[in-house]
Amino acid sequence: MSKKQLKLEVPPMLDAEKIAREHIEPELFEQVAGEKIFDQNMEGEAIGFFKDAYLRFKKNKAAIGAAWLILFIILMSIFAPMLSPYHFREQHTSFGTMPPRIPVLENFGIANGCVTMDLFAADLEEFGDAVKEVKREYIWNYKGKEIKKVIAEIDMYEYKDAKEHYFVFGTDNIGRDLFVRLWRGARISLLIGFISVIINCFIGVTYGSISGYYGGKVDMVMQRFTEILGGIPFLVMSILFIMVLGAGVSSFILVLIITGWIGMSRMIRAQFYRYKDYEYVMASRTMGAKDRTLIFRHILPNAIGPIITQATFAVPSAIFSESFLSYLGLGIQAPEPSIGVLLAEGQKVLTSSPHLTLFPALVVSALMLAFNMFGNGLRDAFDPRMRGL
Amino acid sequence: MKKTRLIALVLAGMMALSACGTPSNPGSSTAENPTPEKTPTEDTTKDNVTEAEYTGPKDYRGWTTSMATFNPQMYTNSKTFMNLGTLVAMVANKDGKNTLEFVPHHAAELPTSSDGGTTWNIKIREGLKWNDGTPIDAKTYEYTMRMLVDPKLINKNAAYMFDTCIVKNAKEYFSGQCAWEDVGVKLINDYELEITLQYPATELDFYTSICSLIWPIQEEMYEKCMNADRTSTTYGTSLETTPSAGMFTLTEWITDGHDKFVRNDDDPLVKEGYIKLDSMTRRYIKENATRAEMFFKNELDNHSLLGDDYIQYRNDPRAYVTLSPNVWGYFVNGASKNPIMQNKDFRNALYFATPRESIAQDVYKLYPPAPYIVASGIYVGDPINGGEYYRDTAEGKAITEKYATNPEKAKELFDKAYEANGSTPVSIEYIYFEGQEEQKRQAEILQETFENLFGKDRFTMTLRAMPPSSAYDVYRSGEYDLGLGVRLANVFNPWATMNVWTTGYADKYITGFESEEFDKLQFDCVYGDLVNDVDGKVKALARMEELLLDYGAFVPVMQNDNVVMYSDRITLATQEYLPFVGYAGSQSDITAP
Amino acid sequence: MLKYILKRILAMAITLFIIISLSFFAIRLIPGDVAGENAAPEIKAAMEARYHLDKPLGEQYAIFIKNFLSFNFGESMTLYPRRPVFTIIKDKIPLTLMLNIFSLVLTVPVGLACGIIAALRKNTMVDHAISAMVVFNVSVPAFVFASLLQYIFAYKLEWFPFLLNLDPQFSFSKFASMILPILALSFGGIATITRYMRAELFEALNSEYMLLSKSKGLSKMQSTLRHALRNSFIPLCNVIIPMFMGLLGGSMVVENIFGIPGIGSLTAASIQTSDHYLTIAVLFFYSIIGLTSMLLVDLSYGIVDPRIRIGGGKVRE
Repeated sequence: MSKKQLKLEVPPMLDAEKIAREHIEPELFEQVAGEKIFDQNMEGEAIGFFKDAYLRFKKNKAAIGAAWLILFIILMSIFAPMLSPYHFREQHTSFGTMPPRIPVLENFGIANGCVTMDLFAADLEEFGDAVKEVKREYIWNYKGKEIKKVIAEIDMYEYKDAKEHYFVFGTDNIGRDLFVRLWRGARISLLIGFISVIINCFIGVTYGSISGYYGGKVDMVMQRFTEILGGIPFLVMSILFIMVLGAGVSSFILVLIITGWIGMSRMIRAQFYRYKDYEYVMASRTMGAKDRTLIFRHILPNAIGPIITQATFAVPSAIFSESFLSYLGLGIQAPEPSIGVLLAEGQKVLTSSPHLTLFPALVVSALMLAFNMFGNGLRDAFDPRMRGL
Repeated sequence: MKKTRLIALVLAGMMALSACGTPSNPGSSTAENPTPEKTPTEDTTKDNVTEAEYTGPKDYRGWTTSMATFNPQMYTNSKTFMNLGTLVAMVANKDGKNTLEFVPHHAAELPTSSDGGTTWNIKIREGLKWNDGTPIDAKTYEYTMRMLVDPKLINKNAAYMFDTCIVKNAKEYFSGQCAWEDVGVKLINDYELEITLQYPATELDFYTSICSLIWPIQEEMYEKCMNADRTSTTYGTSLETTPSAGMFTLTEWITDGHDKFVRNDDDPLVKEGYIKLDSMTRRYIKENATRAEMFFKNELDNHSLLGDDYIQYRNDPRAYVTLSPNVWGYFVNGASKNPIMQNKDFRNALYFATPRESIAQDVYKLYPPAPYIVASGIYVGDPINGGEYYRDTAEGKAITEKYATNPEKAKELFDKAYEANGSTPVSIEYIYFEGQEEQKRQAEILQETFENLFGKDRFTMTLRAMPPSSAYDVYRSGEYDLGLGVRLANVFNPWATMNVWTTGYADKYITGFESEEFDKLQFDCVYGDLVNDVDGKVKALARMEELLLDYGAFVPVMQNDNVVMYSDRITLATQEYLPFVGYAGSQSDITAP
Repeated sequence: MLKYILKRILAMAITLFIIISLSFFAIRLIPGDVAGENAAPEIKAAMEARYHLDKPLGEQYAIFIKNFLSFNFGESMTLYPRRPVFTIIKDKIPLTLMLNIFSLVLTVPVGLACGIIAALRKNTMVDHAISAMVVFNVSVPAFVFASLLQYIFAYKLEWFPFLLNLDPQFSFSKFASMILPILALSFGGIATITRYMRAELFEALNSEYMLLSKSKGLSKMQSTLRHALRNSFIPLCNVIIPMFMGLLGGSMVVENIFGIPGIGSLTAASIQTSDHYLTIAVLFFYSIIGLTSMLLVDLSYGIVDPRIRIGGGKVRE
């Protein structure tokens, strides 16, 4: 970023101008000197900053799609746990690690609650009607004995007598519905992400504004402070704090806040440095505007675009940090799930019960993708010079 | 279950000879083990093709999750000491009789006592050597024992000298209250040692504690690795500082990477033919999924079955059920500030309401439920000349029946306790160990079951995850209601490990349990009149169990009987699980490439 | 420049001091004792005296700081009883460092190449494919990806071994066994670099000076290589050097899965076994790496981009 604000401000190019620069045809030049120039008045109504951004954002199909996806995930995380017949803590201990079974789709052989097992032929009877198909029979040689084995497709819902249940994303090993737990987990993860980002924005904007606006000694002291604090690696900080505070939603948020606001404050400070010497600010100052007016009315609005954009990108990275800490066993306390906890649980049984990893991974991917695209869209909308970056 | 982390005298010993990372035990000998009997799956044709005997390299490829140190005085998981011997070795019979044997290893003969179990005379074999050539004799063992209880070194295994068998004044020396000369370890000559105990002990107790848990250290190296103020030694922390003097010699070791043991042909037991392997290699593999994949690709020779795989492999001829001496459950604090916890009916209600069958079958899948405190791996009597598993005795069975899970009774007891508590909603807290999936699941099941059975409007339970060491600290301080945990038991002397429940025990977990009757029974069985009376001790054990369960100091849930799969190229030394040595993986043979 | 460096080093020292202090308070605040669970009471009392827990807090703090600054981190308690923490870490650094450097060697060129291609071929199929890869990389946690790699390439396809070959000599089989862990480690970094490179280069390509270079008659190739690429490399040291820190974090996951006896698996194990003294020593090690890399970034900026040096300070985002 350091380079960006050092660059000269170039107003956006007009299309005609651009064309003109690229193809300089001699016949486009004509003599104008000495003739009268009739300037035309501006026509059409003025478009405000947000409206302008909105109009640009609307044109970005991917960003619109991402916004809808985020909305969908938020709605699901709020309502899916309420509407589901199962509760996120409700256990059906005898239906542990059931594969997914989805109405309608099951008739097409997808998500029909079947798993393929490598069994002893002698054990096959025990599964009774649950054996849907014997795919292959073979002889296994064990210490000179020949033992018949089969690879069979077993309907786990039939075997465990759970025909009346539809666990659309399957169940975990104590028979809790993954669908409900996943959305419940998404709720916690989003909550952690949003709250930490909002607090970070607040602290970062305040700190950065003061530091950037006043400059001089104040700025120097404040900058040294952020440098020292920012030097503590996130990994180190988070592990130390969670070791002491114990894992929980509030300690996660705290960990994400302690150094999380620094990035925001640096960006805001840079914005202030850039704009505070602009002529319009000086004009306002000479006309007697107070510091508060200058900060909030004249300089800060310039930074709204970058603030929103940066905040958007911070949400998925908060969710990601949470899942990493969950893997290290520093995750949210039971029985509350979070996407990170579910992924860490799933990873341990990735090969035997892939559905426990697949669905949380899909949701987290969708979240990351959506937030990134949405963030890109916002950036383009607020700052068209950066379009497509 | 992080067994490897727990300070376990017995667990340590148990694994001493069993192969790698696999605690041991078989269902075949106990009626109570709910895991299906290992039925050899239908053999269609038994072609008696006698394969040519395998003569290639016999390297056993095991795994481990923890290889911390080879200093036998510091580490508590003595499966790491395959490179060392002891005075007496507990081994599986080498001719496939499926029996346990005590054989003198570094001792010339099995130690004897002249005065009924107080003074023991130990003769050391002549000609024993460390792998660097220095001799092992009585002085080595005297030095070992002195260092073990050295007051400045504070070795973790110091208690081996004053646990089941209390060596005279060993505890006093350890706490700096007397000189080494006063301790009951006397060097008679270069090959003879005399040990004096504080109370008389049986041969079994003496062999299974002092004689098989104290591993020798090499004096020269130990001194060389000692720091200036003699408070710490780096002995056994690298290959160079780890001398070997056992059936195997440690030849390679990368911490948390792998280690390799090569058979030591100079060892007396190797000469007698107890070891058939050429070498054993162990990789450090943390992820169970990786171990499973490697086992099925024939890159590992054993693998601990996971709960979820159990359905597919329970009847596999490669699967061997082990029998644990430890019962996991949760401590119940009758002395908690929470008034409901002080109510005995409430504590009993928790006992009867605990869905141990469901937890065992649905969460742990391969572990049996335990409605008792003394595990089915506990052996009473002499394992060589006839004894039996405690849970097979009439007294043991009676307790199991009396304390079977019973939700109706639990509900009744809870109603009574609820009324006695003034009919106000009650709330309790349950502590479990963080980072351990199954234990989290267990906590969640308990929470759900209790709240549903007692009524959510009347009862709530909160869960709290803690690292094990912090949790045990909280139990010591008494600031808890319910807390997951285990008290480890001695396979052959469960009475000795019952001391944790006695009134005077210094490192107690607070449960409010105090009973004079219990204390007296415990003392009599370990040091007093009952020491040689097996029947009396069995009755006493049942009574002690009953006292604990009746008070509700500990609610047992399950015992961690693992199921181990051994590759088909391995021929085990014993087909039956043996107390202490399990399936004796290190004594197995390799019969195919 | 010298004054600038000194200033940076001073700030670093203060940060380090804060980290040490935080570690001290963390150790004192965490419940749990030094003797470990189920320890005999005699052992417990003796251990507390040994770790100075019987002294007043101020004195403990002084001892702690003194020990840390002399790299005396004490002894491991639960994980490697009695082994000096410093030796444990020292033994494990080379392997982790080697894998991480290999991973950087893979990450940087691949990331740069992908980023450059995507920026030059913007909005084509190639660009979309690379973007899809980036999204996949940033949205699947490394521990899931590493397990998947192992399952597919070691178990199903049997192309590579499950675990890292620990032979001291370098051989082909050792190299083969390093491929999966290196891939798993590089996974996140490639995406980060690609993303940055694509953005920076695209911005550079659209800037005024490119127009100028075109107008003075340079070919597209020349102007891209001479001007756009060079300029877009400058902000990259901001990403690449701290990425090393990220790799170390990734090691915690990857080393567990591929059986690598390095710092990462040590950290994870020390946290899980509550070996606090070991944990904070490892965290201290991470802090030093983190701070050093930050210093390197600052200095490299001073060298690469003289505008910053002249200013004596700089404004960073």
